Amino acid sequence: MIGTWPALGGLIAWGTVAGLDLASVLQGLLSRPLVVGAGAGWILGDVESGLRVGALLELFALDVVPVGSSRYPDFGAATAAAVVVAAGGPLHETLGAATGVGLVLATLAGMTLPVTRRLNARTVRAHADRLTAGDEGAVRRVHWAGLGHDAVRSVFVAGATLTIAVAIRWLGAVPDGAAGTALTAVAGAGAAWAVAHGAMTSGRSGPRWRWAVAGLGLGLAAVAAG
Amino acid sequence: MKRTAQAALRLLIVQAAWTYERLQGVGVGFASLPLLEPLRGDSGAYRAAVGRASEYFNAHPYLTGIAVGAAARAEIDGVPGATIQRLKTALAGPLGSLGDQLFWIGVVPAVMASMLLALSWDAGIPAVGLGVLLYIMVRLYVTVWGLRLGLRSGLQISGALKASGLPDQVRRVGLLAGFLVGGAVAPLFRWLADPAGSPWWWQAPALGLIGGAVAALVRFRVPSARRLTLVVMVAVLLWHWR
Repeated sequence: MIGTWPALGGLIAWGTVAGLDLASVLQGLLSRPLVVGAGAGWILGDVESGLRVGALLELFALDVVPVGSSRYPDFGAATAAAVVVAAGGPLHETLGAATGVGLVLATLAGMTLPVTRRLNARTVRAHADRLTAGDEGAVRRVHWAGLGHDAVRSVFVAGATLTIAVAIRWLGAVPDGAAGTALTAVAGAGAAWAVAHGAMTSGRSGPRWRWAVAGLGLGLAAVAAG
Repeated sequence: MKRTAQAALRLLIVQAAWTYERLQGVGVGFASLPLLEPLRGDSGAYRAAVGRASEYFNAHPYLTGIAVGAAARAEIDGVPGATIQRLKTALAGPLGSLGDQLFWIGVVPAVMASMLLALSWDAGIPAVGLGVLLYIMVRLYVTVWGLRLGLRSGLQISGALKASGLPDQVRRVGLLAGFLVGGAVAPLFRWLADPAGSPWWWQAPALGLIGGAVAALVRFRVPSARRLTLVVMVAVLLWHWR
């Protein structure tokens, strides 16, 4: 399924939608790892892998606040690529490697956001006088140009990350056996670290962390009760 | 009504031309164009209003419509330009902070944690689809509501926003998010453990939870969880390949 053109085309389209949703269009959770992972798993015919890779990466994403000018990772297409790495394999061996690939690609994809912003800035500077004078045509041109820049960025990121993921699969470079299992344990520890750090940092000055601890206790009790 | 709908649709792409110089400015100008239509009869006033609307501005993207509506209403009411600029400057910080606290640190983690919790109960892909659908409906509602509030209130927007009760939701949503995120962790790792079972599967997340909480409490300047995880992964691979 991974090597078929319809699947790759679907993944690139899905990764592009996720890239646009990150900042430019809607911002309606379509760029969240869990959502992208579910969609990518469905496209690849392996929903279980998609949901589990997406869930683990989602815990890392909960530690990220995408505020205006701050630099943040782009988990969208990176999650789709991570699902490609994990799909069809034994998850206790591939989940960690897929998470690692997802984290690296999300960081790299995040570095393309400032490039888009610099391109936007160039367009704004070229139209600065007309914008200041209230030329409505200039406002429209600059705005659509910005959307175009992000669309190109999203297609590029989706294509590049999925090419890397397919290459990893094709080269047989996904660690298996003891190494794969160890990576999965590390991914679990890292995800738990991220969610604990995020919950405690955002709620350190108020009662929020106590509610998080109460929730954790209730969750543990539910698991213990079976 | 048609102009409000057009402006609301444009607010969904308000950050498309985001730059470090004007931040959301151009997007705000683009979203304001339909609302400023009544000024078209006076070319000078229209161009001045479009120019002001496209100036430097930033807020949370979901709440930008409040400022767009309020400034458009003030323009149509003939309020002096300098006053409108001061209004937008006064709104930017509070709308940014309110939106970040309410949505990025509140609603989004709460919704994602709810989805993760549902997954741990084997709800599967429908849980994700339903969560996204409900969230998008909330996002659309907030955008339209904010725009209408701004258009109704004009210069009185600060009082109207306070009276709307939205700022009061920050604390409640934040506590709910904390509770849901905390509550999702153990069931989620149990669900993940089904196919990923290994001798370390429970110890590793437990160590991670303790490490992350301690690092946050003692305010260590540690690298992000992403970087720490990748460093340990590289070490594991080197250990296995030596």
